[in-house]
Amino acid sequence: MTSIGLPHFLIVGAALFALGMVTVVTRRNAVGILMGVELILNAANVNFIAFNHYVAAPGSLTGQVFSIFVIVLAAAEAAIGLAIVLAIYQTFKTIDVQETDLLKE
Amino acid sequence: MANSSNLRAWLVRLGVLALGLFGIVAVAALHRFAHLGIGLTLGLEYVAVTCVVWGLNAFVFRRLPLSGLTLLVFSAAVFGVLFLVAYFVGAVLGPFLIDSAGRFIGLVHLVDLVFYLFAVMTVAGAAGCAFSRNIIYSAWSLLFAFMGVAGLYVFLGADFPAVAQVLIYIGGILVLILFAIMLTKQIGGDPKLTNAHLGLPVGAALAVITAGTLTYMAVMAPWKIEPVQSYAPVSAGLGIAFLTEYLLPFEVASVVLLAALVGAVIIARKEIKETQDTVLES
Amino acid sequence: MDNITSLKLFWPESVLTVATLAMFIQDLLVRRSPRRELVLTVGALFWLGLTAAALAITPAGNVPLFGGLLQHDPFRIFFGWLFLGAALLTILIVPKSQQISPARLGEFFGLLFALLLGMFLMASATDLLMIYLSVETVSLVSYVLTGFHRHDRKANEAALKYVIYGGVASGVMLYGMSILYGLFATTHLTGDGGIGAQLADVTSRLFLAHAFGGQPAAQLALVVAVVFVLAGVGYKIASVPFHMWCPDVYEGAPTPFTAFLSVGPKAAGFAVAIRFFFAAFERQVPGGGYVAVTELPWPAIIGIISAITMTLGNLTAIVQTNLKRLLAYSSIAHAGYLLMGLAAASTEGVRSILIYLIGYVLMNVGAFLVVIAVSRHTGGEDIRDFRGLGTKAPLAAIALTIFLFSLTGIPPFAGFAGKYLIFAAVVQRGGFWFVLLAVIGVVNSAVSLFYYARIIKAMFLEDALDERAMSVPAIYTGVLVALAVPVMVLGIYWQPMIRWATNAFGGGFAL
Repeated sequence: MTSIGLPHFLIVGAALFALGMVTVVTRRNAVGILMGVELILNAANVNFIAFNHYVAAPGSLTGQVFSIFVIVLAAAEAAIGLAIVLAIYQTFKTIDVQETDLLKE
Repeated sequence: MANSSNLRAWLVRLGVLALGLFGIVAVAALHRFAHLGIGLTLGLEYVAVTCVVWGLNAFVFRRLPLSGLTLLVFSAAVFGVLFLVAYFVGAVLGPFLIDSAGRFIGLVHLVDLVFYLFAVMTVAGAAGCAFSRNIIYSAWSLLFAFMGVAGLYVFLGADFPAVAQVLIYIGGILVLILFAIMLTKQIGGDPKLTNAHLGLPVGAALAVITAGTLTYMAVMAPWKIEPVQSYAPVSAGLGIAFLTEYLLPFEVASVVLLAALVGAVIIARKEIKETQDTVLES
Repeated sequence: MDNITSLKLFWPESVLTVATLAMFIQDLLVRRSPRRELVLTVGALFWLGLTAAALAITPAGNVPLFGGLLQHDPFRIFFGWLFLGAALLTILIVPKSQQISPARLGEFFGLLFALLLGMFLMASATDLLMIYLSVETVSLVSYVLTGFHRHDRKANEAALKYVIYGGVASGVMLYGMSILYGLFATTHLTGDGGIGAQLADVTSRLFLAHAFGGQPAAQLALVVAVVFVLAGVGYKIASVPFHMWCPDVYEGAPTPFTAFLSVGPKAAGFAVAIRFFFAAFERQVPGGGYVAVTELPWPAIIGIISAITMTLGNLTAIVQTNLKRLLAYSSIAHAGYLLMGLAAASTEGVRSILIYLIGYVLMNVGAFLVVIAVSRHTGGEDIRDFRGLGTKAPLAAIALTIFLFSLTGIPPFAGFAGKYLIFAAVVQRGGFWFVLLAVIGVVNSAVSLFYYARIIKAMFLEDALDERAMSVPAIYTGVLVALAVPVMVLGIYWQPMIRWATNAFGGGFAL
């Protein structure tokens, strides 16, 4: 009989959450903070699936459904986050291009 | 000339040292497996230790070469110490170690070991992500954290979320993050926030407080645990849930994905120039 | 109700979904048309009108939809009208604002409809999953609309900041929701076996009944869960400590969208907060009042957050020179006033929030509209850009004065009605701490007069920077009048607002 139970998973979730918070508050880099957000979301997902396994009524899949939605929305959020980073990158580049144009004239 | 004789003497001592070491092991083996008499064993071991000590002159005792009676007395002392150590290891510590290892193996299931492997992988990956100073290393640590979480899902009988985790988090989000890192590296500076960020000590304190509170809660709170847990495949059940009980969220999520897709394109694409439009219109 | 029968009461949201798609398609169809701006605006108004019609014909009732994921009740209808009003104003403001290029207008409207859909769902969600999903819908679309000027560095950075804070807040909220799910093994707030029913029923979950006696860990779990969920809501309504994104986003976003952002998602956040607390943690007694189900001190938590939020918002607003930033801090302060109504934890408190929100939509959008009109002329949004507005555009200046006085809460404007009722609800609750909260609110209102008056002084008592004539588009004049008149009328004649609020939150929520 295995000795692993619900608290083991919850502790992993708590550790993920705490480390995610640390990443969020100590990082300066925007992409680094987004990584911390992903850790927090994973922490919540571990909780959801652990509770679904141990606490929910037999046959109920609410926690797993929730986790799937979280994964989907996390992907959408990451896509928008990257698009904004890309926009910033392109803004930089356009500024450079304009400068070189000015110099040519 | 002097050099070559020194070299020859050094090589001889080295050979005797090796012979002595081999002798110690060989005599012990003979005693163990060929039932060599105890007196003969001790005598031969003493000779072998003496050979080793003499051979050691080539290295550590170069400044103070032992020879004659000094050598014999010194090697006797060494032999005594080694004998005590060997006796202690063989008769006291060894059985204890073997006993406790046996108990440990009896205590720990293979399943548990695999859980701890995944848990350590997850937490270590997250810690690497949080504390690594290099953002690329952080991203790769995140890979381990995501993999570990996927492993934990399998443990919890959640096969579909585990696969979704690998496909979407690792295959999608992590790749996006790596892209973003490489792009921002290229422009020389990170997109910084104007808000003050907290230092590592504050962050570590926050981590300890948060983790402590949540761990206390996880262990102490009276979760109402079902007596039987199911490990049946969940894909079919999830599919039915998405199309019956959770149809509305499913459809709303598709609208959100569409809006996010359009939005990401709007933000990331090149600006439509008004002049281009008028050219097209004319 | 099951999925099929629920659709009959789900028309407004269905129309909004179609409208989102229709705007994207229409944008493609009229891409070459020289009258694109007009065509798209008319199209958006058409879809908004259709949504309004759908909302109007939705029969009244109080039933759960989609198996308890949503609740159809007057509360939802009230917020639906509020959101439609804010959206109508935004659609009227956008074309002449010179902030959204005609080439991007279709996409802007399409995303605005998606945002509206999210807000409608927020106002009716009674399931943790639906709350999370709708909050994320609103957030994701808001990020995009904030960064709509993709060549503006300020807009880009505002959007990035918004994404990051939004991600953290929704992640924390999600963690709180996971704890709630663990405690109750369900995500439904209402209905049989929902969180509210379990908390109210002492026998069903004994461990929670004893939670406040012998089980500090269970109490801790509940408190942590509620505080974490509050983080997500607090981020949407821009309350401390999740307000940091607010000034930068308000400044960086296109101003018409800032106007919408300052009223729409904030109101939706309050809808979620009210539903969350009153469906799960309060129980209606026959007399019509509410009593707390648990000993969870949520009114105290909200009260403290409220006091800090309004004080910080007002004190920071004093030193601002950019009007968009100033209005951002002022909107943080208003979130604080509104939270007072929630902290009262009573029927009157909720009704006063609803009344305040009506006035707030009118006056805040109005104030931003004048900012847009001025920045069309001067290209800036600083207070010095408003110098001499009283002689250049007297009507806009008078309208802004009305809106600012109303924001301060001076009679006889609509803002006074809301603020008075909120203070009354808090004082009625009684006890030293609630009276202290009301006093803090009054002091804050006095402080806010200081920075609002500075703008009024610049408009009427200081000379303009230049003598160029300022033209205000006719539609702006019309909208300003249409906003200023109700602000004054509703400030004197409160009865309609009280009737609407009583209707929206009369019987409370069905458990």
